[in-house]
Amino acid sequence: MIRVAFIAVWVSLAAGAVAAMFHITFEVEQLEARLHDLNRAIVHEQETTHVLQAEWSYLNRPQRLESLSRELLPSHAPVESGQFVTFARLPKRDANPSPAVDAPLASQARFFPDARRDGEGRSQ
Amino acid sequence: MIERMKRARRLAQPAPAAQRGARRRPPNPCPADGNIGPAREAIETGRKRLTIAAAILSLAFAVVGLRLVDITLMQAAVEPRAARAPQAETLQFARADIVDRNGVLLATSLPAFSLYANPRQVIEPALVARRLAEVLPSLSQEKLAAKLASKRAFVWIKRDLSPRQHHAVISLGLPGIDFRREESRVYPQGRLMSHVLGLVDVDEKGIAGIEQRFDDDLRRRAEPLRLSIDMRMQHALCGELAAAQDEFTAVGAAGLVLDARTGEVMAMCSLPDFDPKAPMATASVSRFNRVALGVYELGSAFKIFTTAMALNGGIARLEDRYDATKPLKVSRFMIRDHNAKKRWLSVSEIFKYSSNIGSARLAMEVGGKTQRAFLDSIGLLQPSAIELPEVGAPLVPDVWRPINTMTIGFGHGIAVSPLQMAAGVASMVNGGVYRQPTLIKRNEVLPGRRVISERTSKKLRKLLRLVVEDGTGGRADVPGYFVGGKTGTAEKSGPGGYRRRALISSFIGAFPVDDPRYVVFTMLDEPKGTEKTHGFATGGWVAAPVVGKVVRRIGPLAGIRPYEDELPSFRRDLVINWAPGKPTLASY
Repeated sequence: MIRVAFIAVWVSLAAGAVAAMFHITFEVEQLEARLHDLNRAIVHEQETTHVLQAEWSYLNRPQRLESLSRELLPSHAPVESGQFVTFARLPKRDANPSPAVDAPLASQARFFPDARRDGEGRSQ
Repeated sequence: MIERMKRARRLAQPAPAAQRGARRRPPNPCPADGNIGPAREAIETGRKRLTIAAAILSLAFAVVGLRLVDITLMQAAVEPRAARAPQAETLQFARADIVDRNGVLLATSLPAFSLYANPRQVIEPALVARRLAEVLPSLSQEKLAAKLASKRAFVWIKRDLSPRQHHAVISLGLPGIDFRREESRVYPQGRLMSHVLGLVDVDEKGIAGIEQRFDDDLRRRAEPLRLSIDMRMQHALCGELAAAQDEFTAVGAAGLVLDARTGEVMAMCSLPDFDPKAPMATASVSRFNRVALGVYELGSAFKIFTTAMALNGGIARLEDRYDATKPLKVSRFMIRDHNAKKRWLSVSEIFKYSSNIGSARLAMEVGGKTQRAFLDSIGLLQPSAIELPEVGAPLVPDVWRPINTMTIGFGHGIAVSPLQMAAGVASMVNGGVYRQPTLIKRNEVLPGRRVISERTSKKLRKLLRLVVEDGTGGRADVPGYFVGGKTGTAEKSGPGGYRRRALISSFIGAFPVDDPRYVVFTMLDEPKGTEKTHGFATGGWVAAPVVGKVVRRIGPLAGIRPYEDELPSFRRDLVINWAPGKPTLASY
């Protein structure tokens, strides 16, 4: 009787081990397949990024940007040397400001004459 | 095996049957009475042999068993589980990218498909050819049919298909036709960098420019190759040159922006240029790099060097005067001045008025030997060592006669590339150190060699500013950036002497002139004067304005702070003593 029980225990243990091994094997296979898919997807993404980088560079050609800027930002112009000012040249802040200094030196409208009109156009 | 051994043992014991049989047989010659007879001997031998065989076999099985354990448990799997499993970190193209100094992509490799056929598997060549020609109209149907009917196992049909063509061919579903995944080189900036980058052939092998010079390197390296070029400056330079070429209907134009302190080429432009995707679509002249490969007699700009030699060697001071009253006749040559002053001129005036006579006298005073050594020291007598395969060798007289010394003094009788010229001028204005120009961005500055003293360099900068402020180069000036420079106008030599109407007009400038950051060179090949220039096509009229426009654009780009007012320190230094010095009695 003890002998039978002994054998039964061993057989069930062996069966359990086999089942566990199969389970793990299949799981590993699945994980490997998943890893493979992910790696493939990563490579694909990398390739796409690479192509998009080339396209980005192509779309940012200086010639194209120049013509786009001329067309779409007519109020903007390349920086001129006269637009650079040193801090030493800026007026000092006055303790009791005179009305002349209080007013902005230049209104925004001077630089963007079309800004207001554009805004109205959009709201209509 | 154990069974066998048992059997052997059984055989070794005298079996009852054998004993029975023994009775029937003739008497055993060796009786089993303890004496070792021949039968027993045979059994012993058999037993020994069996033992040895068993030992060998068990050893072999043990080895196999151990090896099995070793392979399955001890070693990592050598063979990949999945055939050619992609590895995430191994996206590698056969050729590295090329980027500019700020990382803007200039050349890259993109995956592309090429179409090939195995003619042995093609069933109906004529039909296949017709259907392929329908989706790929650039192919000739007859040629394709002949190709497909051949006995070979592999023929290319078309390299580098577009995605749309790729899809169209797939949907035809033709047998014997297949794709090979390849790479194709892409130049996102198009023509803008064509002369610097060069070309690759259909197998992505570099055949011109940087692509050729760094062919092996580009195949090996993983990270992009970083050039010294700044795309924004390149665009500014090429744009202004193209506009000038149009305006003055010149056959060609060339320009260069060189970092005066490091020797880095910031922009290099040669017009006409070509489309790197279709290089053969334009005339062969468009593939000629005028900046590095072309050599030209650049004329008066050489007076910078002549003056430098004279000042540096202590041969002349700025105030010393030379006779420019009448044209100089040397054997059968006549050296004249363009706007002759017909008087004695100081060295400053010779430079300012660009007097050929004065420069020739100055050069003679310096002497041919010194002149040659000096020009050699600033790299004008050897081909430039820039990283391009297309480098022109300068045209230098074989025998340095006095007449050569004189003409070279004002830039004739010697032809150098614009690149050499700019590098030479950079060494004159940067404090006197010559640095080999380079197209590659380096972390450290290349070592230079001192060619003139700091003091001479300072004097030359004054003279260059004088030309812009007061002389022929006024159109190159930009408020705030203090450009200094020298015009150059030379007649092109043709069959039977110089051609009066065909000019090479150039301007070489440096800014800001008190401590130059960049040297800018522009040159127009055979410009024609316009109404605006009163018909003039000289360097001061056609090339100097281009430098001005380029400086206006690249100055703010480079973050150079413009001087708001006059440059007081430099202004003070600029004062040149116009008081007449002692006339020098040059005897030539």
